[in-house]
Amino acid sequence: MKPCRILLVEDNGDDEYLTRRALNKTDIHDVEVAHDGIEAIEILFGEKRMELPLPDLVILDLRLPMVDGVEVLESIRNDYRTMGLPVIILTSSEDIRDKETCFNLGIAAFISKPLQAGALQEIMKHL
Amino acid sequence: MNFSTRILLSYFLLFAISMATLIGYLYWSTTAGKQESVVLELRGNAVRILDDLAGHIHDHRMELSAMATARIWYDDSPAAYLQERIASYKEIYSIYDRITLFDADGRIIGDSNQAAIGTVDRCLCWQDGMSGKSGFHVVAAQAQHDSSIHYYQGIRNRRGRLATVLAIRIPLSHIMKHVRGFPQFPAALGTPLKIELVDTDGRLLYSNRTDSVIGDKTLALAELRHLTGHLNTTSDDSSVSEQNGMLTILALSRHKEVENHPIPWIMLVQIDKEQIFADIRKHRANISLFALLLMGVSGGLIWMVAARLSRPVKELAEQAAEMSRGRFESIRELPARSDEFGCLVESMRTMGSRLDAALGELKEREEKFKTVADLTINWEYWIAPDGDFLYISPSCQSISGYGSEEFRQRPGLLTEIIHPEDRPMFMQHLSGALHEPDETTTAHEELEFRIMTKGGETRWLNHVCRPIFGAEGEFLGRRASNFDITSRKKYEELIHNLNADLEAKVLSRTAELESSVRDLEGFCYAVSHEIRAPLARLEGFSRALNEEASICGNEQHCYYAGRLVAASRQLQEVIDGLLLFTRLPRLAIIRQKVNLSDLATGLTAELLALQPERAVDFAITPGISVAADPELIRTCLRILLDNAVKFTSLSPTARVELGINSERGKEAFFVRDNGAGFDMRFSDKLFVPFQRLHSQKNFAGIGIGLATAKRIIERHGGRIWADSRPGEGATFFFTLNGGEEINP
Repeated sequence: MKPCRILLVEDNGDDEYLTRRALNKTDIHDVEVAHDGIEAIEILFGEKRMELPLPDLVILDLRLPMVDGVEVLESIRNDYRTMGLPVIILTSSEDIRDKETCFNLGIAAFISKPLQAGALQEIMKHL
Repeated sequence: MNFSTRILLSYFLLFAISMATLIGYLYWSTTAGKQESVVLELRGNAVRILDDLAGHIHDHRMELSAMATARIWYDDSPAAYLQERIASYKEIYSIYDRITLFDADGRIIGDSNQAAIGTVDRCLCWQDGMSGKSGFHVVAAQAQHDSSIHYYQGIRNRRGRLATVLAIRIPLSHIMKHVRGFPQFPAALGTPLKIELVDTDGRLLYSNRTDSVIGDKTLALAELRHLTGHLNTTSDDSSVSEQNGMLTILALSRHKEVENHPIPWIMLVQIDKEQIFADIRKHRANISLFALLLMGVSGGLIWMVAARLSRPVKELAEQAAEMSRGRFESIRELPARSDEFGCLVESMRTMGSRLDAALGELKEREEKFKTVADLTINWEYWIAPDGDFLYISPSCQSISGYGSEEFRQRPGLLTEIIHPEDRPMFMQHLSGALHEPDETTTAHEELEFRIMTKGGETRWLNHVCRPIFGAEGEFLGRRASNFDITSRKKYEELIHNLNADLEAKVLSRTAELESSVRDLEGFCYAVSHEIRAPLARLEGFSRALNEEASICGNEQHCYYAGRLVAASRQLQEVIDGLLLFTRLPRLAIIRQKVNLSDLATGLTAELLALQPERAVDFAITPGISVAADPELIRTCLRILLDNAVKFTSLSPTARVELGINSERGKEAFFVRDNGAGFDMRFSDKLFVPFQRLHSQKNFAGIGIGLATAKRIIERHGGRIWADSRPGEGATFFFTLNGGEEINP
């Protein structure tokens, strides 16, 4: 699969930059960024979404203000439209409980920051 | 009836019986003998009288014959001769009642009775006389006459014709007067009540009694026949019969014929037995009197003997009674005797003294046991199968306030005073306990309950009881002890309250501690994330810088950026290691089957991939399978392999080995290398966090790895230990399910 559209949920600008850099190196340019969980849900299920198609991949940070990444992931998995949407967790946390929860909900990969182009390409191969 | 009376009576009875027997025998033999002799004599007399009578009758016949024939020689007219002499004959023979002379026509030509002369009387005597016979007829009593004997004789004249008949009549009673010994029997025989002469037709011819009517039939034909039958078959001429105390003797004359005239008379003699035995009776009275006297005398003698015989028995009986009353002194005062009684007295004396001693000992022992039983602090009792108290110690008073007598009188009192809340439990115990148990169930039963004392106080009792059995195995009830445990209960309550307080304190402290731990955990989590996030950024930008610098060809910048990446990575590892180490004690261990060999193979591949410049010879024993938490055992194994690879970096031919030691049934896994090794003196520092045995320069590391590995192994209930020498490599052993330390 060659995803062309990506939704990046990331509240930190530096991390967003580094992630974009890795994505660009993988030749992915169509990246929409949500800066917190609410925004991510708005993008995915809001009125705007009716006009636009769903992203091909969601790269989700877990530590988000207000609504955190796990809640966003639950929302994605609980809606029929986004049920099969591939999600990659990109986080600086190594928390084993978060990892378990996420894998139970269904994710493509659990990657520690910083995102590296090689690792991303490896994952994209299997999507 | 006492003993001496019994002896007396039995002796007397024996004596009386023998006396009675003797007297009875004497009397019987005397009477029988007397009767026999009397009867014999009477019979003899009767026969003799009959013979005598027959003789008299014969004599009179001879007289008549002489009268009739004397004239023949002197005169040819006998009739006239006789006519003249009738009167003189009558005078001579006063016994003759009448003399009659008949002529051939039956006319009386001469008679002692003058009035009859000239009359014709053709009587039986005339008829028989005219037929030429001479003889007599017995004529039974008739109206005017007694029984009499009529003699007759026909007299022939010279021409030989029967011309005259001479007849004489003699009353039987006249003849009887001449019979010897008649009518008086010898005095020794007594006076017969009845002496009678009876003819063969049973007619009474003569009787000595005035009330008998001559000519009556006095003997029944049957009796006559019996008599004659009896007399014909035996040589006896008499018979004896007894009826109503009367002896009747019948005798038959054996003098059967007087010139062809049978005289078949029967003599009947009847005599009262009483009369015969009168003298014997007189003797009997004397004998009886004598016997009574004898019995009286001997009774007295027997009484004296019996009293003398029974006196020691009586004394002994009195002494025994004394002994039974518990007094043993008087037996000692009895005089000594040489006979069996003396022996008995001696035995009783010994018995008495032994009994006295035994009783004394018993009393002493009872006193002792009473002291033991009654002065117990506990409330002891023995309850019978029917629920009655067989024993209850007085200590019940001090415990319950009720005296032992009150419990004895009211067996239900114990149940009544039990606290209402505990009563059902006790009733259940009681119903089970008093139900007859098996002999094998001798186990104690114990329970605790409260009672309400007489004073209204509540007390706690500990109740212990057990069934007891007799020698035959019979159930005898239960033996129970009640201890007053009120104070113990108070202390228990106190301890309970203290414990509760303590528990509450512990709970609150634990809660505080848990909250601190939670805070710490939260803190760690936050810190790790807060540090990790910028660290990740640092690494990301360092990498970016490194890439940019390498593109520009600025080696200096490139090197700096590379060091930045390495430093941030190291910091990240430190943080990860610390986080894992602190979280380990509270992590849940979820054991699964893990193939240690496969795991190690994967891990070595990863390690070599990270250090492509290293050439390490891995020797992994295949098929090692363990039950462990897969994530944690992976971490542990990675640490050990990582260390092994790290410390062989200076060895020319690095070799790392994973194996298993199975000794004494325990499995110990090991990771062995041929690297730097260490001095065993410092082995105690090996598993302590941040303690290092090698310089950072030679072998990089943060010093948390082995501490983490140790915690993981310990969380699995295993042990980890090491064996090494400097320069000779190191071996790390570990077990996973609480195994002992095994050195290869």
